[in-house]
Amino acid sequence: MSATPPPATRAHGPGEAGDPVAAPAEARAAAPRVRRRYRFRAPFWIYCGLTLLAAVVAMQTGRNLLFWAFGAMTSSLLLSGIVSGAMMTGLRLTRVMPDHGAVGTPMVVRYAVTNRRRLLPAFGIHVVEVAPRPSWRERRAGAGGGDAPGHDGVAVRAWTSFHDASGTPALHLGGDPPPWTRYVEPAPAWVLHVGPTETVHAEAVFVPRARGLVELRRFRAWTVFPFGLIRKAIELDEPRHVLIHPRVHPLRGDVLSSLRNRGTVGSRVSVQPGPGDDFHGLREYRHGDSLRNVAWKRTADRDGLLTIERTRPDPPRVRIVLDLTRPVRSVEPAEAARLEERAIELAASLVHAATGMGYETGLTVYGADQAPIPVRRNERHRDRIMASLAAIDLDAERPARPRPVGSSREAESVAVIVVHPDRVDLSAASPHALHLSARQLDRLVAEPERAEDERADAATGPAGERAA
Amino acid sequence: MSLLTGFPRLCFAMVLLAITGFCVAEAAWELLVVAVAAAGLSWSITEGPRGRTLPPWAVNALVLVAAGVTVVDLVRHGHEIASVLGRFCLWLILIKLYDRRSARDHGQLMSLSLLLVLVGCAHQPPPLAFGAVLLVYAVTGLYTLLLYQLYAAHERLLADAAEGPAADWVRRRPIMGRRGRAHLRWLAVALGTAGILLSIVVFLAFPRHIGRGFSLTGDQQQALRRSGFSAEVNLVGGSRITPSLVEVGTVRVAGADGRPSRDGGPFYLRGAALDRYREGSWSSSSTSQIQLDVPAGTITPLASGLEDAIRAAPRLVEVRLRRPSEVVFAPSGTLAIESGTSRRVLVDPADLTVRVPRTSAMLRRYDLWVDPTPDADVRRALYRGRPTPSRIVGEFDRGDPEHPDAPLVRGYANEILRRAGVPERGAGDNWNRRVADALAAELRSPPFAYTLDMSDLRRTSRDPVTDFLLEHRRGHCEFFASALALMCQSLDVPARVVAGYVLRERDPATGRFIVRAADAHAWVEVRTGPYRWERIDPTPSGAVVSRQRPDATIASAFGELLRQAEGTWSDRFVGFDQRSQSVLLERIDRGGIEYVRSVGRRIAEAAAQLNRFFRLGVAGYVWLGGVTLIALVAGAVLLRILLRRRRIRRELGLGRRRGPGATVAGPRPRDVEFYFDMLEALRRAGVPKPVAATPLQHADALATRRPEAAGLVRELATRYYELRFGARAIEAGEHERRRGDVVELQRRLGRRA
Repeated sequence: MSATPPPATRAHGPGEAGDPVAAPAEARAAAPRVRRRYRFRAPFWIYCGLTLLAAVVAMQTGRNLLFWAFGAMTSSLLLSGIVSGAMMTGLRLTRVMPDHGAVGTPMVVRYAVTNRRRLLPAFGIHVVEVAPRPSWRERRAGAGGGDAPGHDGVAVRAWTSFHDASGTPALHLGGDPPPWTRYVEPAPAWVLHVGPTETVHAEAVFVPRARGLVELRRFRAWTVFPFGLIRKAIELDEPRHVLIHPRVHPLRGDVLSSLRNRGTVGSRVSVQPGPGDDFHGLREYRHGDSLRNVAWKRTADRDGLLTIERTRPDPPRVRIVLDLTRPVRSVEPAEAARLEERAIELAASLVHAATGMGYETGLTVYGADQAPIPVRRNERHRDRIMASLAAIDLDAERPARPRPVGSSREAESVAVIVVHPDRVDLSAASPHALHLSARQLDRLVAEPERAEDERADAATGPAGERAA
Repeated sequence: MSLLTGFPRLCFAMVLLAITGFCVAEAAWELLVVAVAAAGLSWSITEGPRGRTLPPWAVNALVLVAAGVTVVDLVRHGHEIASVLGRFCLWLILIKLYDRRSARDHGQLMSLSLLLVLVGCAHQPPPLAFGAVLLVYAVTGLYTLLLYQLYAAHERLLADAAEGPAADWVRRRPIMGRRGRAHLRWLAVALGTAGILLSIVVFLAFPRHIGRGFSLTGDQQQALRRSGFSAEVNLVGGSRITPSLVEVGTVRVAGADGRPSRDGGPFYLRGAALDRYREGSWSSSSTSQIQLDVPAGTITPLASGLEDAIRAAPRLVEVRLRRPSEVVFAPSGTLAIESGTSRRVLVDPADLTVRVPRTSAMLRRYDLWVDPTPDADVRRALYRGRPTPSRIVGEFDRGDPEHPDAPLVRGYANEILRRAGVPERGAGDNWNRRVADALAAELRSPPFAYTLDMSDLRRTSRDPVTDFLLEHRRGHCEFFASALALMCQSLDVPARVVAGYVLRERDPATGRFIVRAADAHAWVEVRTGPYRWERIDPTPSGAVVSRQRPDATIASAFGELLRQAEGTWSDRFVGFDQRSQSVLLERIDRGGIEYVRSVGRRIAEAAAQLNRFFRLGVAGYVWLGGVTLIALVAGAVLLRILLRRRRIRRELGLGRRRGPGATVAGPRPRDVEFYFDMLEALRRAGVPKPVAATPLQHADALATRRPEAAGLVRELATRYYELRFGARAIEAGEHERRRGDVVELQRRLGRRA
């Protein structure tokens, strides 16, 4: 497993200029090498055998129809090579990566297939991600493993151990499969037809298996059209990255609502005026203010009108603290890694649930070299937190001392949920914090059929069950 | 999706066509009815949402049964391996039709149908109906095969997706561009046309003699022959002759008054006279041929001293052939020839045959002046005063140790003479005639029988004529003529085989004889005087009957059309052999040379005309050559510039735009040529701009890899931006400056750039 230090943890769209994660400058500057490959499939040899047989029988018997059949079969062979060759050399392909993926959720990778030919249409184009063979120089140099450029096609920066959602190692295959298969389930894309000078997007539905950054380097477009005899392929090097977020479980509605019972979460009033109910202050009347908000009594002894300003309610604020400082030593290493992955999933699920309920969320990770993410509320902020969780490298050296939870001012107004991989360590946060363990994840996940109901209940009132 | 939904139907049609073709080739009509009915029933049983298929165990059991039946079939009909194989394929197809239908099963069905059609192709002779089915099968099969690739890929994609975790995310409908169906049809038409042309080329050019050396059944090489005239008679090959009704030409026979002769025929046209027999084939022993120039539109006597006879010639024969021929077909007693174009002909004074030398163009239309019963002086003039010898020394002559069958033939001939009461030893022309008549009468009577199909006769090591006389006693006209000629020669009676046409069919509307390939015939001429040879046809009269056309009705016209098609099929396609191939190649060769010569002549004439117009004299040709050379070079340069502009326009997307912004005029290709050259230089230097990167991004990337070129690339890219997207105009002299920048960039990037 590779243990390259994680780069910046901001979430980026693929291909953004200056983005070291999504599109390194080296990758962008790399020449789009196109390799052409021919593969003569079994039908080809069978067909050749039949053609030779027809020729021999024709020569033996002098049957003119067999001579014609031989001619037709030979010309078909020739035309097959010409047509498929012209078809493939006229194609231009570009991989269009999604913004991100999530473990367990299908992720659509698109390939823009452009047919540059003016007359010849393209049919039956398959696109697959491949692991390119090392060149003879690399083979001679013994570049056989790790992240050596060109080896296995994907220089994966593996920041995490490879475990799927159920906690079992995601890959126990023999040999040396392409590293990206540890992250995503490979899937082919196929497009039936691309007209001349037309662009069609083929879709491959990948299913991410583990969180992390996946780099897809080389892909192959091939076709057996028109006669299925020769498989003609072109391979293109186009390094692209995609970040796989941790798996998100639908949590029970009472997990977050139980925070209110602890007195740390509730309606608060912002210092800014807003559309609330409470009194905030007075100001001069402005054109457009509602007459209902005019403070008539105070206006009576003044020349001008005064308008009452109301307070602005702030949503609840939650900081998720992921405590990875203490490696789990009481169990097998595989089980320990699984628990830590589950802890990350639990944190991601909490972030999703909190954002979905309108909470402001922040993230602090103990045991990883990541700065705390402040408490905010929007989609982009949530993706930022998810990217941060996706980028946690469990194999990296972990800082010995935990960092403080946010700023001192923030600590007074946020609810804190501490997620532990195994046992709860109460010293990780303030006494009012809610502590959750990864072992509880199965109990916290909502039943599919009840999830909607519980979410509705949670919106209407608090539930009494304590999660931890 | 609608593009692929029609595939199962097309595949089924393809299978039906294969079954039909095989049954037609086998002439197994009962099998055709049963197989097509079973196949049709399978469609209604297995297709549709309520369709039912056979369980796998039943399919396997049926396949085993079919294999067993095939083994029994093979034991019983071991000599018909192709038919047995075809029937086995047919059973497999019928079983597969009741099996489930995945893409793989469809592929197997198509493969089996192809095998079935190939087996049908191996049948001989394939009827015209099989050819029609084959054509439809080829057209349907090509489109179905193209569709199959797409259908199978789509099915496989859906099957794989159904097993995976993202089954709901995969589109059920295939992703395709606009007008996919039209494009597929267009591609099928293009592929079909190219395939047919290529296959015709292979068919015509494939050397037919290659397989003879290692053929396991060498005698089958020539097993098939088509009827038609041949300048040589070969009795070894051709165990079965397909009668061809292809029209070779027409012949009009007019009397002395110019009116069409009402003689019903048969009318004999001589083509070749063959008097030497060797190893089953006849050839001509004559070596002297007299060259004769036939000016256009001039009646040219075949010999001198015939002018009076020509003026009194009672018969005019107009020969109109569909194809030019080097053989001049003429009836006996031909005195003169006239052609519309000037020709040179060779007249053989020994047998009075006429042909065109190989170096001259062949003849297609000519008139002949004929005296069917010439007097002695005319005959002497025709033979140029050289009487034919009273005895032809043939290889079958007595005392020839090389031919052990000669005594058998002679003994058989003597026996016939004895039975007919003709003295075995005699002399004189009258005796010759009596001998020939007696022998011919014997050959015309049973047990001798006329047949075109001798494939069931066992070939022995003896001479084919001996086999015919003493063993089989069945054969076609060449055997009869050969037998009579050989028997005559064995008895010292000069005789020769004559090949030509015997005309039996007359067009009632025009009164012309219609010459068909099936009218080719062989007969015998026996010397009955110093300058006299008489025709004796030993072939049974039933074979040479008058074939008068029926009255013109729709049915008869349709029948005639079918006959024509059948004749064309068997003549041009089925009967295309090595001889046809060599004739075709020779014709192409001649045509090509003539075309090149005519083009050369036209160029020379045009050059001379120009030279005369400008009055340049002899030196004018030098000037013209120079001007032509300059024009060619200028044209090449112009073409290169146009192609380069076109490439720039395509690469940089400067062409006409569609949709919004179509009216915005882009820069001229010449203005942004420097950017195109810059991209070329970068590509050659091994640092091409990726498609996904913008020019400035690439310039940034080059800053680390090739810093010496990055600045210049950035400058050129910026200027390109301005011209391409900023609506800036090119400055005066900027073209040269940018060209210099590109040269500088190439220098910095290295020699390869």
